Amino acid sequence: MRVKRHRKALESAVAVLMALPFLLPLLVILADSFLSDWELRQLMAEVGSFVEGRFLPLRIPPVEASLHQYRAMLLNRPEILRTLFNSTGIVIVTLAGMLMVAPPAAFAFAKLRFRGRDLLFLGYVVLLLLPFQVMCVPQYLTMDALQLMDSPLALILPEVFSPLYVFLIRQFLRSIPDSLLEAAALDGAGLVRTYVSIVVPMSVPALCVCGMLCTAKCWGMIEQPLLFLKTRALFPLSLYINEMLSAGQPEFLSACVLAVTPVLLLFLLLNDDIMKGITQMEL
Amino acid sequence: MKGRQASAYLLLAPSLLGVLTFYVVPLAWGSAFAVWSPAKGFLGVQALADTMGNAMFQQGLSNTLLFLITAVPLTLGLALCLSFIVYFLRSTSGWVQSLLFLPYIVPTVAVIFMFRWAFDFNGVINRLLSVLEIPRVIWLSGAQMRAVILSLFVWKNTGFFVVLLSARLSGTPRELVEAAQLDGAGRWRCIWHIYLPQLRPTLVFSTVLCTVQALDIFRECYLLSGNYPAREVYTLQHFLYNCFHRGDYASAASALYALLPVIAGLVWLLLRGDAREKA
Repeated sequence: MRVKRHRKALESAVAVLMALPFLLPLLVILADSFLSDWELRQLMAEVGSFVEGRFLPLRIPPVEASLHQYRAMLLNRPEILRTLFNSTGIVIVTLAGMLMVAPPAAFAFAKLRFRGRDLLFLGYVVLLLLPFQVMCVPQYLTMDALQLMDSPLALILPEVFSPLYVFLIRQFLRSIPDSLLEAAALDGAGLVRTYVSIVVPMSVPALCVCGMLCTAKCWGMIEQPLLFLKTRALFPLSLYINEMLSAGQPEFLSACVLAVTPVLLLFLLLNDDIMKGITQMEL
Repeated sequence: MKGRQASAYLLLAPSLLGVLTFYVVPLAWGSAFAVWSPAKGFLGVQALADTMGNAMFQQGLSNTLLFLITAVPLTLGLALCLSFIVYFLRSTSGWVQSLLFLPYIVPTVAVIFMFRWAFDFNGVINRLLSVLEIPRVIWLSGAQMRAVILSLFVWKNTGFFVVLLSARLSGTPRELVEAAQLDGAGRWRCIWHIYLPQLRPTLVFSTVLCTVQALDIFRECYLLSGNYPAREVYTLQHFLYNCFHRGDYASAASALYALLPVIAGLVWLLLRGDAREKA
C-alpha cells in the first residue's frame, strides 16, 4: 500500500515537472499583472538593455502587489472594453453559425449515402489543409466584391463555414455504430428525428471540441482583422493588445490577463467533454 | 432511397454553399489573378516567372520551408515522447493532458512578450546559459530570432498533439500488451512493436496538421517583429502582404503556386494513410 502511494506521488511529481514549462509563461503573466507601478517601470527600463551582469527584475511574486495595472487599464484605456465587446460578439456569432452549419453536414458525410459523397469530402479535406496565407488574397478579393470589407462579417463567415469543423465532427460520428441509427429508423423515426434526437445529443463532446477550437481561433485572430478591418472601433481585443505592446503601454499585462481568462474559463468548463471528444475522434 | 438522397443534400446544403462562396470560388478567382489582370488582360506565365525570380520571394520561401522542416519534427518528436510519459503515468494523465492543452487555446498575442522577455539579453534563457558558463546570446535579432519563433511554436502546439497522440495510445488493446509481456517483451519492445504501429494513422494526421500550422507562422513573426522583419524571419506571407499592399495582385497570387507542391504532398500523405487504414 505504501509503495503504491509513493509511486503515485512520484508520478504526480513527474507530471508537474513536465507541465511546468508549458504553464510558466501563463503564471508569469498572472503574477506580473499585479506588479506595482514602480516595479513595472523598473522592469520595463531593463528590457532591451545590453548591460552585462544584470538580469530582468521579474518579481514573482511582486514585492508590492497592487491592482495598479488593472486600474490604469480601465481608466486610461476604456476603449479596451469596447474591443472586449467586439471580440465577444465575433466569437458568439461565429459559434452560433458554426454549430448550426457544420453538424448536419458532418452527419451527412458520416452516415448517409449519396452520389458524390467521397469526392465532396475529399474536397473538404483539401480545403482544410490550406494555410491562411493561401486563402488571404482570394478571401480579400471576395470580401471586397461582397462589400463585406470593414465589417466583422468578413472575419465571421469564413470561420462559420470552415471545413475543419465538418471534418472533426464527421470523424467523431464515425465512431457511433450504424445499428443505433438503423434501430431508430426501424422505430419509424425520419431522418430529421434521428438527427435531432440521437445524433445531436451523442455528438456533444465533438461539438465541445469544435466550439473550443473555434473560440480560441476567433479570440486570437490577428491576420484577419489586420486585413479586413479598417475602422478602429471594430478592432478585436487581440489586435488592440498588439497595438498596446508595440506602443510600449505599461498596462498590457493586465490586458493579457483579460485576454487569457475567458478562453481558460471556457476550457475548464468544457474540459471533460473536450477530452472525451478528442479521444473518440478517429484522427 | 431517393428521398434519402435528397435529404442528404439538404443537410449538406448550407455548409456546401458557404464553402463554395468563401473558399472554392475565391480560390479559383484568386489564382486566376496570377495569369490575368483586369487592366492588362492576359499576362501569360510572365508574372509567375517574375515572382519566382524575385529575391525577396525566394528569401520568404526558403525561410518558410526551413521553418517547416525544423518545427514539424521537433514539435512531433517532443509530443511523441511526452504522450508516452502521459500514457505511462496513468494516475495523473487526465489533468496533465488538460494542462498541456492550455497553450494551444491561449491567444498568441497574450504570451508574445513573455517570450520577448525570456529571450531578452538579460532574460531567463541567457541567465540559464550564464549558469552553464556559456556567453550570452543576442536572441532577438538576425538568425537567432529563428530559435525564438521555433520555441514559441513548439510551446504553443506540442500540447495539442500530446492530447491527440495519447488519446490514440489509450485505445491500445490491453490484451496485446499483456500477451507481449508474457512472451518476455520489455517496455521498449512494446513501444516499438505495439504502441508505435497503433499510433501510425494519428502520427500521419498530426504531421499534416502540424505542417499546416507551421505554414501559418507569419502571426508569430509579425507579432515579434512587425511588417518589415529581419531577413531571417521574413516569411512567404510577408512577401504576399507587401505585394498585396502595393496593389500587385499578380505577384501575390502567383506566390500561392509556390505552396502547391507542399499542399499536394500533404493531401497525398493523408490519402495514403487513409488507404492503409482501410486496407
